[in-house]
Amino acid sequence: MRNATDTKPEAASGCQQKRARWGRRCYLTLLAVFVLLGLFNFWGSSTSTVSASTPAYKVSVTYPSRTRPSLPIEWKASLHHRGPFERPVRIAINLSYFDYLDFNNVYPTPITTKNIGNQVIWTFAPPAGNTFNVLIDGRTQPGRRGWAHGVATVLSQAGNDLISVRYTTVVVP
Amino acid sequence: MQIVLRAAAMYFFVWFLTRAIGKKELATLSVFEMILLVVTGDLFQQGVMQEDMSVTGSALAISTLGLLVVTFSYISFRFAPTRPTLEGVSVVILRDGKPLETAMKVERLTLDEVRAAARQEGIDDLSSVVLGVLEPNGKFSFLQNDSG
Repeated sequence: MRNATDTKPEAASGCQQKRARWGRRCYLTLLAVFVLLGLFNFWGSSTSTVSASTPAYKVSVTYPSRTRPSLPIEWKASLHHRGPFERPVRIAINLSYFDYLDFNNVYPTPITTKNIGNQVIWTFAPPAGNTFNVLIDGRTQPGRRGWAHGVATVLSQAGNDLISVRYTTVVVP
Repeated sequence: MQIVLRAAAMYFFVWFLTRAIGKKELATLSVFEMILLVVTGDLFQQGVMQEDMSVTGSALAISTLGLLVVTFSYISFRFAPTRPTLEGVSVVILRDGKPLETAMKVERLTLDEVRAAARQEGIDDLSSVVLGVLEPNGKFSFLQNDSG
């Protein structure tokens, strides 16, 4: 029986050494796979585009479908009108989506920004031509993770929904 | 993807830096050098992670460094000719009690530093040392004759 005060380790058997060697190889393989996937941007951010159209409008939103906390995001809405825009353009985004963003700015700069209900409503000057692009300069809020459900809506001057798209951003840890 | 590349680039840079600094400085860090080392670590972190504060990003950077350490270790173990480049070589600085000035000059070692290292090994007289070696990790090894 081993003395309680004995500090010498017992020699590992051949089987134990073999198991330890294979165990280490497995750990290293897992690590290599993890890094390789990272090298090919598997763990990085990606964007998707969602579109909707009515006879008068077509809207496309490019949004981050997957991102990580603190990474810059690409969010761009493109609104196409059948004819030239004659009135200001009103775009609404749900507030809960903004909770996931560290928001810097929106381009072009809106004439007014209002917070009504659970929406942020931007009003932009009528753009030249029949296509209007708006993009958000921001990043994912540090410390946030989960699923961020977004709704981008084009509103009429009276506040009615003209067209809207829904999208979900997955924020991985 | 960029985190993996940045981590790898910084790994090679730090490896190059440690090889360029020399063995002695690595083993005998002064307070000032210790502070510089901490600052270096901070700058390293900023360079690799930049604004990424995610758990995945950190895990990727750490995994990349870990894999490179294992890869270097394996290359050094498997291919002996790479060892001097990857790990450095042992340098004899004392033979039969006599300091080898050229070797000490290359390693920027003074006799006082060798004496201090010998004292820490319990050696009171350098003439009793058959061989004094500066190891690749910056530590000193002293072999004494039987009467020493």
